[in-house]
Amino acid sequence: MSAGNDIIRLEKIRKIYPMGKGVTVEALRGVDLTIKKGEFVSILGPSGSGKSTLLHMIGILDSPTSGKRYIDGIDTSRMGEDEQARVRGLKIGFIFQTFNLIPSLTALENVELPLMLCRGACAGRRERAAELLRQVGLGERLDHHPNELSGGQRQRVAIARALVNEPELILADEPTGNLDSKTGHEILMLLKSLHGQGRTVVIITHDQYITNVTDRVVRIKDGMIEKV
Amino acid sequence: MNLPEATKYSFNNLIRRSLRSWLTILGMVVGVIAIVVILSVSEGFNRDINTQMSSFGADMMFVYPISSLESAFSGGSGGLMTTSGKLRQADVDDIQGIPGVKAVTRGIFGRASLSFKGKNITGFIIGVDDEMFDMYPTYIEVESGRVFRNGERNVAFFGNDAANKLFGKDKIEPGSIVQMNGRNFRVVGVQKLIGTSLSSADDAQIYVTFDDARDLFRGQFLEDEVGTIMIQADSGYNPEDIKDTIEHKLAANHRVRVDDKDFTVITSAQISEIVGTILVSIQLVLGAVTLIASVVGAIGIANTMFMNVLERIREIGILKSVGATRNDILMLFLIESAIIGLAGGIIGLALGYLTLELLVYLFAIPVFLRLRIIAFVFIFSIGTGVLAGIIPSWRAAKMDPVEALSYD
Ligand SMILES: Nc1ncnc2c1ncn2[C@@H]1O[C@H](COP(=O)(O)OP(=O)(O)OP(=O)(O)O)[C@@H](O)[C@H]1O
Ligand SMILES: [Mg+2]
Repeated sequence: MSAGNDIIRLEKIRKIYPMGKGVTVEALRGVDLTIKKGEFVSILGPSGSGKSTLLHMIGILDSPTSGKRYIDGIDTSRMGEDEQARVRGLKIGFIFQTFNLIPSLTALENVELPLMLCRGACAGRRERAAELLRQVGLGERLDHHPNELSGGQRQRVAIARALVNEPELILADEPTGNLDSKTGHEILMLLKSLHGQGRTVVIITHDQYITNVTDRVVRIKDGMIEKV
Repeated sequence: MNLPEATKYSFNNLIRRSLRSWLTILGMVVGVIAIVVILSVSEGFNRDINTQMSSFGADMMFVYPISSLESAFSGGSGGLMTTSGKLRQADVDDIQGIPGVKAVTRGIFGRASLSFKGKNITGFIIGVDDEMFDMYPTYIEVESGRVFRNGERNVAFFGNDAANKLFGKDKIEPGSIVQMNGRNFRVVGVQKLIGTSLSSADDAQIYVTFDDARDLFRGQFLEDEVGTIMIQADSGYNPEDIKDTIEHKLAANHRVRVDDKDFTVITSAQISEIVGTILVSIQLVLGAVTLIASVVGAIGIANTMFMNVLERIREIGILKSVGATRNDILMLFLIESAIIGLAGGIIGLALGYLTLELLVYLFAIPVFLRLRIIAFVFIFSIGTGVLAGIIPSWRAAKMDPVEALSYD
């Protein structure tokens, strides 16, 4: 077992939301999952099954109620909040269903955002952000604000932003959920091409179609991963 | 994130802010205007008084026929004081003999009806001997003509305002003839404007010879009475000691005890001290205004920042998802808050400056907008901004990323 190849390892991860008056919601009930370098994985499950919660666990955006989580072999429970933020900025790129671009910033500035934090190399970032926008086909739209772009174009900006720090892991939460099927397909192909360039990509979806494109499918139901 | 990056980001954000959020800095602006105006006016008076005191001489003493200092200041040299006793020529002569007294001269004053080119008004006249002009070489300077000399009769030396303002557009010049209580006086000179806030009465008075003044005020004074005695101390002596000796001498002359004397000796130091006390109370008002201004300003900014944070919860989530730490977020919002404060400061400074111009124009109040007032306003406004921004910014910083991202 070569831990050096695992980007993320989750062991018996549970996430319980207290709802007051003793009521709790258990979004994840003991999840074991390993993502290896260079994998192209889809996580499939119905609405409310805990997909987004799982993605937040993988992306160190949220902390588990119990269980162990390792990124590159390091136990994240030993990291403080800020350390987790730093790791997130360096190693993970998020793509969301609702794009999550900052409306007051241009496409270029949105892509630059992770570099603004200057975690890695800070120089030449404008060029790098522009180059990525060209790669996703938005070379003409650098100075447009999100509200001047179509849904598909916004998602391309979000993808460029996710790539700008050269993260080890790209996490996409229903990236085609707000797009028509043609545009959705284009975005999917873009993500597939990222994997083709050697990147590790995880896509969350409730769409069976997407699982046909990925190399591996993880099925989740009621907060538990179905054994294959 | 480094400071220039964060500043650029915050600044970009502020530029795009709605007018509504900017309006809340109005409190800050008003506060800064108040601070600028009060500080500048206080500095103006301060500078004025220092100028006056230094040209006046620190070794001066005055004797007035009143029992306490308070009545001297409520009356002022511009009005007639309520006298409680009488100063006599014998007092002047006795003071002359006291060791440490370098020069002594007498004065007598009152109002007289003046007429010039058909205009009749009342003016303030002081009768002096020419020694007085030599006692105040830097305070009383000649602008045109000359001062009079002892032995001359029916001559007058005009204060600058008395020459240029008393008769409206008709200006008094050396050679002008002015009637005082029906007698013709020839103007021999006009004084340079002293022009400080304390000197307005002195600038408005008219000097005549002691004997002429006694004639003008005939019936108001006893035969050998003087209105005031002006004394210059020798630099080698302690003015307080001289004052003490004078008080005992005059009390004996007047057959009263020093404790219930009917006259008062005032030294330059005492005047400075009284003025200093006034300045301290101005400073207290100032402190209170600054405090109120900062509280009002801070509430406005804090309000803006709370709304700002609420409007940008999703943005905070996004920033956290791309790796922003609590410190990064804190810094972004604190800088915004500081910039808002600074903007309030700059606007307040500009409007405060205009207010000062207006005050000078309307009321001729002395103002002095010194560099250190400007520096204080900058530090004050940035400081208020930062302080007001701490709680909202900290709220933003400790937001949970997942909750923030799913907020709508
Ligand atoms: N902050 C929260 N507080 C309470 N319950 C929550 C919270 N977030 C998620 N849940 C619950 O956890 C469960 C899993 O939610 P999650 O968002 O992970 O589902 P999902 O699979 O992503 O669904 P969808 O496909 O609709 O996005 C749901 O029952 C949801 O109600
Ligand atoms: Mg979801």
